[in-house]
Amino acid sequence: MNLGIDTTTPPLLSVNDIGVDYGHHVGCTDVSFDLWPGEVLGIVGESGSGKTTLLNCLSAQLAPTRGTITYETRIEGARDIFTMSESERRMLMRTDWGLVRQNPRDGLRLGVSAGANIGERLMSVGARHYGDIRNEAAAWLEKVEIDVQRIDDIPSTFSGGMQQRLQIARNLVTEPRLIFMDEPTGGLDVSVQARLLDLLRGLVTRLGLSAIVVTHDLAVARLLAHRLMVMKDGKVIEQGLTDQVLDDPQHAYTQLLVSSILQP
Amino acid sequence: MTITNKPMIIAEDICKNFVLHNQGGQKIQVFNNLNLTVNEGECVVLHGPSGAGKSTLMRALYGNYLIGSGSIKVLHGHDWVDMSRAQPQQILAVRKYTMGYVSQFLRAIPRVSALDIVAEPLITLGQDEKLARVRAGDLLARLRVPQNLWSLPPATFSGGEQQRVNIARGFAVDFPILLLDEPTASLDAQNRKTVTDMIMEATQRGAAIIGIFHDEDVRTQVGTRLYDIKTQEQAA
Amino acid sequence: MTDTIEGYNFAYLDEQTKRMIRRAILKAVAIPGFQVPFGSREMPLPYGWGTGGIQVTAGVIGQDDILKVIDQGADDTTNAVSIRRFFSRTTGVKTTERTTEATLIQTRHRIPERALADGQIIIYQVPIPEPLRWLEPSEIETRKMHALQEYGLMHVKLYEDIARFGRIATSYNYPVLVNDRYLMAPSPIPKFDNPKMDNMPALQLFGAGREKRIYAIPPYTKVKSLDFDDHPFEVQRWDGCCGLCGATGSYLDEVILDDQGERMFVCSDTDYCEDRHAEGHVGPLGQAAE
Repeated sequence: MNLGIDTTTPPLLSVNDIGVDYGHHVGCTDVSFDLWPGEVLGIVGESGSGKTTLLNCLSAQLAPTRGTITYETRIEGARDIFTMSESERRMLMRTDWGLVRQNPRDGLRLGVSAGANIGERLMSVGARHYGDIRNEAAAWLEKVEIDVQRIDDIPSTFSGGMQQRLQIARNLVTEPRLIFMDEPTGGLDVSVQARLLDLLRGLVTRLGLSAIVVTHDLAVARLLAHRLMVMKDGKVIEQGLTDQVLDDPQHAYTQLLVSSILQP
Repeated sequence: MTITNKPMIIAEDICKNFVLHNQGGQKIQVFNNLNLTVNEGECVVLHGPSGAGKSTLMRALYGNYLIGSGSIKVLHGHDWVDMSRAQPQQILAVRKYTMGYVSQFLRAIPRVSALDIVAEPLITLGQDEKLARVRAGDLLARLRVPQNLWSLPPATFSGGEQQRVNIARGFAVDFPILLLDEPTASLDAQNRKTVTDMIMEATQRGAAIIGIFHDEDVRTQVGTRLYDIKTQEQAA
Repeated sequence: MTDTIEGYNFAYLDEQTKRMIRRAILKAVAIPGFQVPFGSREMPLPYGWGTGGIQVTAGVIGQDDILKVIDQGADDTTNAVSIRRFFSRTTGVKTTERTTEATLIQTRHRIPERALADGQIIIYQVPIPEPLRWLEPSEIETRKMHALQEYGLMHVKLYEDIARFGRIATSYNYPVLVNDRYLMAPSPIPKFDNPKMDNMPALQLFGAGREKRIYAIPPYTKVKSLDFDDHPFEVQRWDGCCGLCGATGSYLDEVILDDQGERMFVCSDTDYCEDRHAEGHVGPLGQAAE
């Protein structure tokens, strides 16, 4: 899982002093980090820790109250996400970024076929050959281990795990460099979780993706993330190498989290 | 290959405490002011009673545990990297290319076959998948892991089988530095011998090895030097 | 029949309203295919009966115009007759059934077969102006999609058709891209008529009364029906010809003749059919002109 992460190149994503307030209530604050190509950052914390707020802000769905986020675009170098025009931002989110939502229903078009779901991003950037689009969709169904025969079925006929894998395929078809994942295995059966995690590990390694994964499940974080950020009450209370944070937690809260995991 | 004067690991004045915040801030001091230098071709055996901090020291060298003070310098290519202060990306790079670690227990990942677990460090380095699996197979075969188990995830294997998968994984890449934490603990005599041979082969090729072996025979065969944690501390 | 009614302004609407409509029309012409909101008025007929088209016609009609009104290609259906009479009574303007004579043509669901000329205006009645409405219910989102030219979703719909039926199943109100910029709903005209919109010499105006939108295609504007490279746009074809005039190149309506299922096909454009008949063309079921 460990790729050569070259920190001499500019970081893919640079987050500086991000804070999001909801009126008087602090959603998250004082968050700063850099993310390089090929790195996976895990954000863990319990409910109310601010991790989802942070993810929504990082993925440009929520404007921050303070701070800036800079992304190293393919052609134009480092750009501030929130000073970009909405059109540019939406284009970025459709091509170079992916967003895998916790509930796949929120990230799919339930009324159109699996093939159309995967092909949509291609069509939105100008793909106009039906046969090619369909072949590409079929190839991705194979990659996420969904039976290709189901290419014309609508996602409401799929199981939760299949829907989640379809959501992943829908996001990866444009070969994004950065994926945001919000509790990607939440709500799935354990065996289904295992399969999904295996798929994600493989894709991240093979495609050299960067990812930011929010999860409350430390085991998922250990499996997927190179680095970990622990959040509590809107703040990052500890961060570092994943296995170091989990095996040698320094902060009281991290120690509490780690010691609370049930062992089957 | 004999022991050279080329140091691969230099640990200076390292201290390690654990503070258990949720047990009233109880502080456990593990070791204090340790110094350890390991050269190419050495196999240093860590010695000390249970709880003295042998595993802790090993994990600190690997960057898995933080240290309170001091430095742990590792020769990574031509550069020295201080594992206690390095950025996560750097530590991962050191682990990928330079430093291998065989832990006491295999951390089995669901759905990944034993063969793929062993091949992974090679594939990560860019080796062709097929060739990596061939080499993985050779190692598993040498350690007498039955071939019909290779395509299965090791979670249901016996302790000894899991440990042998773990060892195969650790030895897949010819790391310049190897950390071995009780590699022979769950093995029978035959396999212990095989592992001993593998360790000696590594020393022969010039690796710097640090190991914890509770088996006296293995210790005397592979060890070039003994490092007693307690006396080192007292000597400092 | 041309007695104008007393107590009503010319063309029913007050002058300020007509100015407001003309301003909307100017904006629409300036941005081909873009839906311009306008203050749709209460008209003496309910929504769904052509109030948008009527308001646009009322906005542009002048004393010297000659008005033709068709409904599904025919001048003699109830609605066409009513609307023509409405304008006749509120303006006193001359009316006609001949496409070539008209300066203004208000239409529901068809474009006349005979090519329109420079100087003519055709006004379409539109039920739902938003081509993306069935795919994206949110008005906020569809406005954004138009603003940012994000039309991938429309192609998703066409993809679905091909996946499900083997071909694009939309046969009327077929979406078009106007001037390489805006996605537009051409109103429920059959896709057969879409090619006529491309580079048409006449001005095309569209009015949706209930939805309160006006849009336009200026003369000689590019209008392209959406398709895929390997599933190109195709128009409808019939096996037979018009029973009355023998035409093979016009849009044919199917007419059931008896309870045994006997049927005939007839040009939907009544004026076109009559013209051909007058020129001497006779179909298999027609009689020669007197």
